Amino acid sequence: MKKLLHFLLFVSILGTSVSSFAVERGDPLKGQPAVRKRVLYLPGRFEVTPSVGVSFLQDYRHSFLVGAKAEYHLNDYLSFGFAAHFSPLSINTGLTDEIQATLPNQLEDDTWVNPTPSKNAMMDALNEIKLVMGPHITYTPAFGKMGLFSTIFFNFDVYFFGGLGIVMFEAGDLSPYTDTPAEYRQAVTAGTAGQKLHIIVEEENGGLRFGPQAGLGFHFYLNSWMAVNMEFRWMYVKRNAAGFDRNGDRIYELIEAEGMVRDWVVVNAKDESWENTMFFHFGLSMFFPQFAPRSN
Amino acid sequence: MKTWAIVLFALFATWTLPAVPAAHARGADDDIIMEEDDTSKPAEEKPADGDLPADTDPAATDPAATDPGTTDPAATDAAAAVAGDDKDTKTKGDDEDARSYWSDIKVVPRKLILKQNRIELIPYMGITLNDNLIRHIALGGEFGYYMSDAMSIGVGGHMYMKQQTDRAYLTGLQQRVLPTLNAYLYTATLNVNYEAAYGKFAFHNKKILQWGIFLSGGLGVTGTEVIPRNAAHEPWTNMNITIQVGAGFRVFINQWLTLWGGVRNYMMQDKFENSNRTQPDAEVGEKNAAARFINNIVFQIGVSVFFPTSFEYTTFK
Repeated sequence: MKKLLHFLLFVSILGTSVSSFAVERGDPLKGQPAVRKRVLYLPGRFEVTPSVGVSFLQDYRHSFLVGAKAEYHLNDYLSFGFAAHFSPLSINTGLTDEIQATLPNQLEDDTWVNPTPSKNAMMDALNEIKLVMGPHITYTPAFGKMGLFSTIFFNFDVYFFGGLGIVMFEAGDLSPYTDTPAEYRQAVTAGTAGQKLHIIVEEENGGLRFGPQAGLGFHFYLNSWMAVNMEFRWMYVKRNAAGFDRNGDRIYELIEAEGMVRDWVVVNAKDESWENTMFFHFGLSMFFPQFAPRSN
Repeated sequence: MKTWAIVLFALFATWTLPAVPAAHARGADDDIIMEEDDTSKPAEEKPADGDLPADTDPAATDPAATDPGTTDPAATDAAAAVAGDDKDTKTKGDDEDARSYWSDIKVVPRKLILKQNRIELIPYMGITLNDNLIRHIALGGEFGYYMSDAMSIGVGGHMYMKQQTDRAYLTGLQQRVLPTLNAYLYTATLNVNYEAAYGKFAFHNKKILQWGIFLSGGLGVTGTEVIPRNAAHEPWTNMNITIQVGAGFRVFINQWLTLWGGVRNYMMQDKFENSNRTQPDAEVGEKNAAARFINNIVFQIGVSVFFPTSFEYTTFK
């Protein structure tokens, strides 16, 4: 009898444990996506973004850009594309204006003593950004929704990209302001030496330059196939923005007519340095096909 | 006899106690049933499809066949509720449990952080953006009090460490001009911040983070010191009234911690060494200083900590 009572007690306790477990609540959201029925703006769509842009953090010239970006979105997170922008207009930075204000209107008669460039020589030596382009891969980790002043509500996503940056610079031109050793000998002989900088430009500061590029951007969606696109782009390329020598390399020539050895400063690719070049782009993204499905 | 009494009592306890939490849950289900009674038609009337919520199945009339994830007013037939059929009761219980889970999920959840009547501390570091010749690293912090969930007032400040760029050296080498530079020493401002936008984003459609954009304005002072072009001259300092405007963002990590970033423009009238370099000493130089309007744009990034670290909603969900 005692054994029977103990057995019944044990079974009852066991049943209690099972019942308690059955009462526990599970989380029906566990393992589920955060957002359902969201508009799939990206997967399998082709994006074209005409945009305007401007460079910033530049030393001498700010460039305004016009161009476009083409991109194909493999899925919700990854895409690849190519962007190209042309600069039809550049303006002086504040530093350029400050420097110009202190420079003389023309070169000194004796530039061996005072080789200060003139206003025009300084401006003409600068290189300018003419073309910015390059392929990139884009990663879009996040999408969301926001309210502006609790009045305007829109979807957005944020992306990061990286790739190869290609910048084409228009070279500066110091030739009207400089002479070579041969030209100087002729001028000395003719008695017309003076008002020329003694610089040999072996390599101009223009042409294509390659380097890494990266950046981040935002899409603010107006509807299922159009979005406002804002993008910050960073490129790291080698350039000689000022167009003058920076490393002090020079050549020495004996000027027989003067009985002296003179030195000419050499400007070439060794005077280039790696510089950060940053841009801001603002454009309108258009997605094709125009229909955007919804997720499950 | 005693043994029998003890055993019977134990049996009674183990068989009746599990029903208590179940009854509690079913009590919540009773709330659900009461809501359905409020909105549903009488048992013999079948509501039109357009009257049903989007997640209900208008075709379902058999409680046993009802999908646990849906609600069906027709399933609350009083006859079915009192049926002695164990299978029907068990299915209805499962349906009600499932409905109780889903009813806890709100379409628009509460904001993660409420800020009214809380204090915010923001240690940050920054870097000046818009000077080609001299760069400054800023270290400082901000203290703010939220009068409402969107607006705060506070005081902020930072110290600067200067760093001349390569361009400062190259300007002298290439253009043969020596720039006149001032170093920033400190900035302190009284600020008003307003959260203009608030939103959420999902990271890989798994983790939801909430974020906001704020606008900032303020008034204060900035201390600067000239960097004499003649090394023999002693530098002199200025204290300039400063107007601050800016914008920034914060991403909420939890109830008391956010990642914070912003761009602020500290505008002031500063005094520089005169470009006419005939001053014999620093004193004369200071008297002949040239005034210039300066925009000092600083990018700042930090974390913000709210006190008290927790809060409670005083309204129902």
